[in-house]
Amino acid sequence: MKKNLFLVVALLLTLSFLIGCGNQGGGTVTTEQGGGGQGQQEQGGQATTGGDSGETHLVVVQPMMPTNFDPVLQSEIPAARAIALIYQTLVYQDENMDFVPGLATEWYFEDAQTAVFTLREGVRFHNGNIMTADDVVFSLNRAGSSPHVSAITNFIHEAVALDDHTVRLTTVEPFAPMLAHLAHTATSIVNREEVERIGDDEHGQNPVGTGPFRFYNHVAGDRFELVRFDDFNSVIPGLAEGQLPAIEHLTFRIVPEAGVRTIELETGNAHVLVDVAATEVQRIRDHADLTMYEIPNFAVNTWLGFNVENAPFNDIRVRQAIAYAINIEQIVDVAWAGLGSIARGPLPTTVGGAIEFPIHPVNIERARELMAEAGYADGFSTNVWLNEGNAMRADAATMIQAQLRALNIETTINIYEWGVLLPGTAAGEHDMALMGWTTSTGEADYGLYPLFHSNNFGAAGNRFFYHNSRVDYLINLGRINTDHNVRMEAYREAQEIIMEEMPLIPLWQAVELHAAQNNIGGLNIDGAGVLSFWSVYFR
Amino acid sequence: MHKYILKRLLMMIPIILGVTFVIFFMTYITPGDPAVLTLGEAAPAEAVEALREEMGLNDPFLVRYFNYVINMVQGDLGNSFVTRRGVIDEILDRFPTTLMLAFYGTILSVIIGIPLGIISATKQYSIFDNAATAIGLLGVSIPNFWLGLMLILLFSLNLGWLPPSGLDTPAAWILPVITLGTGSAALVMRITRSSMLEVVRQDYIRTARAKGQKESIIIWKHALRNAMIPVVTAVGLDFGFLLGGAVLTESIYALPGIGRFMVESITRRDFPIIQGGVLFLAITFSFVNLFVDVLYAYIDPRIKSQYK
Repeated sequence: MKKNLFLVVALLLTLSFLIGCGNQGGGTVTTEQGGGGQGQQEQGGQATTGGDSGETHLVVVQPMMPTNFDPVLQSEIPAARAIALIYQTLVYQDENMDFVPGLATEWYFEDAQTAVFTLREGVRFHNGNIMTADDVVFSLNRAGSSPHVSAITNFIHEAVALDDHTVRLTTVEPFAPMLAHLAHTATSIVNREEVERIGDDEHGQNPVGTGPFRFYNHVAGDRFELVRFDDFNSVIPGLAEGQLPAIEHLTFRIVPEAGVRTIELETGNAHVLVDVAATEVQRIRDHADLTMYEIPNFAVNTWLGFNVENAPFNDIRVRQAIAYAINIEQIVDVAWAGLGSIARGPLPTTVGGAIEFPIHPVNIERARELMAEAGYADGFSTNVWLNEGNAMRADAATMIQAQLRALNIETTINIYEWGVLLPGTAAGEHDMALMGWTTSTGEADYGLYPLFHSNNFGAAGNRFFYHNSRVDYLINLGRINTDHNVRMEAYREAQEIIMEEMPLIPLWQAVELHAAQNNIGGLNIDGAGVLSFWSVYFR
Repeated sequence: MHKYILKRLLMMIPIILGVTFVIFFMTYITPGDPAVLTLGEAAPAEAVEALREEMGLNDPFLVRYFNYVINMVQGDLGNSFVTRRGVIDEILDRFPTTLMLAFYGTILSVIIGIPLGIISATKQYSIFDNAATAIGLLGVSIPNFWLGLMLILLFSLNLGWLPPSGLDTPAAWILPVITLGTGSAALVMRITRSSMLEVVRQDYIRTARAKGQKESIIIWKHALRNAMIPVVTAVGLDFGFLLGGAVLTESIYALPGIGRFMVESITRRDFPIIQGGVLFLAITFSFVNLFVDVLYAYIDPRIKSQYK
């Protein structure tokens, strides 16, 4: 019997040892990839981009694992950030939001609905295949028919190859923001042969692109790793033609606990921390060896939106009264602890064409007058919906609830999971909601059309059920007119009407919060939250 | 004995069916359309409806449940809504980490808890007993997440001896195992102590002492074995629970285990993973219980004779 017991224990110990060895497999990548420093110097001429320390393995910690690496199946920002490293788009937007070549070297518009792109020659996919017009046609048509990213790609009618290096793209209707949408990661170019060979689902876990880093491995829930693509033969803002990234090996470790992520950075186990928690910002700011990056992004992260279809918020005077009653500065200061800034309009100030409206003044007397004029002198009961797991929005809701008592408005705070909040607000079951929007293309159209055009009631974005024919017309004008000045003027007027009629009260404009060791150079962060690891180097 | 094990294995079938029914029903009544969750909130209505049809979501509840069970029997638990990978693959990717953590945590709790419990019982009311009781109380009282963070602050940030998270090196297991094992060790110590106190007062121990048997032999050979049944039960149950995932420990130390994954899946409303995960854990727990029952027979031959 003792012998049997011993055997059982021995078997379990052996099993645990074997599993332990298996688990450590992902960690050996460092050694394998670490020996290429000389090659990098020869191939990339990295001395010009800095980085003579010899270190080439960058460790990044972040809270979430991308759920999918396929451009048309992406559903969250960690995926978009990874996709930007693995794939490329036809065009890019530089730091001035100007369009610059990517996989397309040049382009022109045949008419308001047709653009022709000349493709860069000699670009290879990570599997060795040469990128051709066939891949681009396949990628754009695939993106155009994908329900996952349709908000970005549904403008695509058809892409056709004119020859091996020329593609014609037609849109469903005249669409002026076309280039901004083609710079979005959802329209990244994939390898047709690879996708057809392994299928969409597998491609989402083993992606193949033309980007500066190729996918190396993925340990579920723990990490994913990218290695430099030494045959990279394209351009990307921050990486000129013929250059390779200084970083040869990128490890993204997933650390859910905010405090532990900071400790990983403080102890030097990680070089870059993506998505610093608000509670950790001051600690990093105070640390002598760390740099805190606080970059305004494309998100009006939180607004107080009204369901303008139903009473009492169908009365503009009630909405204006609430705007006079709530102290936006106080709410932002307390709820968001001084990070970011007060949102100054329906569009984030980082987006071209955004207008910075003055901060709405607090005037309780005026608010009471407006309530009386609207027939609500005695107030009313209402509700505000928001998502769970966002302490800042919950704090803001509590403050709004308290401040609205000055108008005898009793507000019930309803905190729901996204799975309840989104369909509920899409169906118009709410009175007010604390929500937000990221203009992820960096283009005014994507910040206005989904939210304020009457075509988009409900899940498509307009959860205010706001309808103004003039606003619809102006947004349409901005979509179809390619004259920059005409577009900007249309957007200016649309924003003014929206701020006058107040289907929403903008509250907080977000910032990208990231941190790095002081010896990390070349890290740029764009408004969409993409980090340029291709231009990073060790000082 | 073999007959008993076979009987227990067969009894697991209705248990598993019951578990699948409950979890399937719970996810069925949970708000949220799986087709929308799969395609995203902004997906066109016609694409959502087409997927609903493809996924069988328009079928009645019992038809859907029946199809689920049929697929389950064939080893198909569906695909994650989020990653689109197979549920079984997703769970098996994470199970080794949880198994290791639970195993090492249990080993630690046994190594610390049983000797301390024995010494505490044999030297009842001594300073050692009082100190061990106090430490035991502290062990079961300290919240996991607090202990974990304190250990990280001390050993990673201040001393720089151990990594704060991840599993890159064997040393990285030390802090999570201590965090997880401390509470269990205290529990094992308390149960060992009380069980030993009960046994050492029995007549056959008094007889052994009267015969002049050495105290160490009395304790380790005669008393301990008889005191082990409740300890094995507690350790077995604890191991079973740990296999369900030590959510906080896995989250603090960024360990890719089942518990963290299940919580993430619940927040993402990834129903196939939740259903598959609960099913997997129910099966695992049943096997651990069976193992513990079989272990009883090896510890106490009298029990073996009852297994038919």
